[in-house]
Amino acid sequence: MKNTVETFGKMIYKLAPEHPGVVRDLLKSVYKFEGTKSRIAPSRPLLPARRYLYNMTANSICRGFGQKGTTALVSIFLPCQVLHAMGIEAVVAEGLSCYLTGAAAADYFIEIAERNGIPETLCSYHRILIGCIEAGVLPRPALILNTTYACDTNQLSFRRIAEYYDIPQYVVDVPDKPTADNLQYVADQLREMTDFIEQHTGKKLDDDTLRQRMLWTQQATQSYRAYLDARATRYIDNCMTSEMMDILATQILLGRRETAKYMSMLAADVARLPEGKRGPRLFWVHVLPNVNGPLRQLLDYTGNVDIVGSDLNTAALLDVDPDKPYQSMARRILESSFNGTIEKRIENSYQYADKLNADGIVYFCHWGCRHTLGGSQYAKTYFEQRGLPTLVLDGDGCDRGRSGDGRAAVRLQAFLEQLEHSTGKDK
Amino acid sequence: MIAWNCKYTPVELLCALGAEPFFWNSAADDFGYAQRVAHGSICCHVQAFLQNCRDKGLREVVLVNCCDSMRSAYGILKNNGDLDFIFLLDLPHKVGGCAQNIFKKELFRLVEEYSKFKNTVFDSDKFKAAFPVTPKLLPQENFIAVAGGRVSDSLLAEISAQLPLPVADLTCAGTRLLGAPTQDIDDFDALMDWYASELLSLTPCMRMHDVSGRKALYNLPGLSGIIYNTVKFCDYYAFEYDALRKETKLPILKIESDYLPVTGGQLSTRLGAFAENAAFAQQAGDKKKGSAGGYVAGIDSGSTTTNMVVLAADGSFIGGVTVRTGPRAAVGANKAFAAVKEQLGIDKEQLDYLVATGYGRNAVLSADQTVTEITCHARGARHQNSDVRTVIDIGGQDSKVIGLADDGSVSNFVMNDKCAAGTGRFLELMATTLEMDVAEMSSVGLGWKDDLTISSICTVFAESEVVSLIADNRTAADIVHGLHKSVALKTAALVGRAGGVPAYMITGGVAHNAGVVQELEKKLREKLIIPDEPELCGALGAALIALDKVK
Ligand code: SF4
Ligand code: SF4
Ligand code: SF4
Repeated sequence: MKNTVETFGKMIYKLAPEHPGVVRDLLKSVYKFEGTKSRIAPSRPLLPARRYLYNMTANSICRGFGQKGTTALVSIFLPCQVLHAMGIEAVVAEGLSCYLTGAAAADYFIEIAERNGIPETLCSYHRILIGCIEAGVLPRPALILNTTYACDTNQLSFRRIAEYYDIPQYVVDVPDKPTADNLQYVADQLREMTDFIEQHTGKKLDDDTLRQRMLWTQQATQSYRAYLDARATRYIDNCMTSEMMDILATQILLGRRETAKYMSMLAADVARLPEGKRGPRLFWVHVLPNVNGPLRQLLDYTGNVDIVGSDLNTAALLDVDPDKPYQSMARRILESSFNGTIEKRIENSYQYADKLNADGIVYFCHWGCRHTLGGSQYAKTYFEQRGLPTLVLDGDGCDRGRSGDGRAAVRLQAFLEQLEHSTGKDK
Repeated sequence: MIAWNCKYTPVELLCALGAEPFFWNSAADDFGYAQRVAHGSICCHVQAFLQNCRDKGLREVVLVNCCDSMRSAYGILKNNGDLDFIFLLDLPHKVGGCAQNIFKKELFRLVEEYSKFKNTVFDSDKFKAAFPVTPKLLPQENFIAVAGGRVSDSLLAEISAQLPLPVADLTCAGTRLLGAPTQDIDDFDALMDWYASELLSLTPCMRMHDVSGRKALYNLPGLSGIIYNTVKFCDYYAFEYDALRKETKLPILKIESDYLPVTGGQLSTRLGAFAENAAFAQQAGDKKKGSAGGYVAGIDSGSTTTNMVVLAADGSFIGGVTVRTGPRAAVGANKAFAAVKEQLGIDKEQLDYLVATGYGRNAVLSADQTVTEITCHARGARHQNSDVRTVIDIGGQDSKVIGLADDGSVSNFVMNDKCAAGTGRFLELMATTLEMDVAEMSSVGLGWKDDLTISSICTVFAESEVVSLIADNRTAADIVHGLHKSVALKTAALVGRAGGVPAYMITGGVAHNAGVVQELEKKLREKLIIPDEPELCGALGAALIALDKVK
């Protein structure tokens, strides 16, 4: 399998300079195939809900590679309910790059980005995104919409892409505290963003459709909470990728009927599993490096180690009021644990780690993600003072040149041994 | 005393509250503490700030939530308990009416917190008095701007000392031109409205949403050249540099600051080359010598080898020599003189003019002039082939790409960063790991079968990758080919950053390496021109400059 992927990656590398269109079609068919395969004949023992999820995310990525001028490029915390209501596909760097790396196709795009002057210290999800666009493989989006957090990177790369292709861009400026004034400020901008989308796409937003999207958002949120409740005492034989794919479901895919369905399937699937734990239960902070072979060996489908949750999936599990869509979306943005100072994010992670009965925390320092990096030592102290052993792990979520393969695995393995020992599970 | 570091800080308001604000923008001696409490890959200015807060015993600090590094620094400083007062100002990204209102509320919050802390009240006279009567003005005559990300006080002084024109600080930390209120505003709310609007109208930094106002910076009258700085591990300004270098007609030089004490080497080479080639260059250091001996020479003192070229007074090529530099540049130079005597039969005293270049150029005491290797390589390359528009020099310790204008002058250049990846040194180290010599390596790689990729960027990690490939029973040819690809990749990125165009000439010892050349040609989709003696190119350029002096 690994070799097939590698060969595919090499083929992409050879074809991309002369035939970006061919590469685009190839990627589309691979993702289409992968999506269908995970639905009907997954190569791993996936829960039915996760099979549904993989198919859903693969289709979404495929649509991202669809017709020029039909998609919107968004940042991970941008509320997309309005886009879904108007039938516009949202493309997000984290999802796209994760899929491209999965097909070993990211190297070329990283190279293009660096050759075009993008600093190599920039977060690799965005270097791949910029490379993929500037290589002419990702079709020109109709719009760019982004919030000013979670990071500096998205502001920089989206501005660059907007200028490169002359794409209309709307930026939601997000203050750092959820005060009443700030709530109003953000809600007003979200309304303005809707006008902006209408104006640039010629589509009209129907209020009832938006209301329905908010209802599905609420259902999905409730189901995800129910899933977490059940998860607190249960084990799943899972992998980093499913936690990564959940990020798409808990953020940009919120507000779709399928997402609500997925979340309720997930809650039901997990509730049916027997109670009890196996090996160490890990709570993960930040993205998951599912490109790193040695780490996958330690974490994916081990029948033992369990990644019980992650901070990106628990950043803003807030109720929404379908009758006040803009206020609700604004509140989710402002109150997200990723908005504001690092302490807020770390406290939130601790609460969920505790709730999910984690034995330890892996704090993943994705190269280029300075907010995460800067908070690493503070987080370690905070978690450990509260009794949760913490591993600060340096690496890269999707740039294989920086993922530091072997060394990260040694450290993680030692950490797992430490946890097994301290929880009395040493066999 | 309260430390601040961002131009959007309401400094005048702090004065009105009885504070003594001071601008804190120094380098730190080291980052030991900062890396212990934060991380080594966050913005170096922020690392220096964290370090100095402790080393210099700061007690009060006002920060702006400028960027991710700053946001996390605030959390750290607030919780480590070393400070008496810390405040994080939430600066909007937009500047319109609503954003201004949000910002005004932040000013109110600061007033509330600081007056509680200091037990003071707002004093409107102090507020007015805090504005400089005449804001700091830009130089009236021609000047060079340091632009982009901030530079430390010491780096700015170093740059000013090395350039032939006055230097103005147009970085994010240097352009706080704020005028005093022109009329009396008695109502506090209205006054803060005015103040918020003034602050938000400063020339936007790259962190703001609308950066179109920055264009004016680069059209200032008298602006003759730009030193563009980016702070290590800050991404904001690299994006502007990329756009600016394509647009501006002014000479531009890219540097990176790391907020540690300034160390000479590469920086002075870059500044020197910039000063030599830019339109404002002065004929400094010229001295003409008699034409007694009938020869001129150029000596290129590199980290690995020292090369020397001798020309006759009529310009004809007499010969060139290459010797190992050894531990000290001066020793290498003496060896080169000895070799010239032995191989070419020419004595040091017969040289009418000697130009030294290369990283050890200042150690060649008998030189009449020193010129940077950038200028010399450009000159040497162009002399050998007049079509050349881009010179790619892969040397022992650094690699560089030099863009040439139609007339052969340097239009742009970039050098690799401080690490060895993508240089001759990288290949040497890998050759040792593979237990072969460099010359052998050059040909071995051509016989590859399996297309391996060495993915680690860092030399040390690449070495361990190579070791595990050997353990994996991969053939030497495949591994070497992977290494060649990796050097080619780094170099191609450098060419991209310099905006290089064909025809390309490759110089330096690595030009002999057929494997690297082949891979680089693939990447650039273009044949490379390889001069007869690629390692002599810099010395030849130096000799040609020497020839100019005696003609
Ligand atoms: S990984 Fe970090 S830097 Fe990269 S996009 Fe996500 S939040 Fe931004
Ligand atoms: S980049 Fe802007 S916000 Fe940041 S410190 Fe500089 S002036 Fe302040
Ligand atoms: S140099 Fe860059 S990263 Fe550092 S404080 Fe300024 S804007 Fe932030």
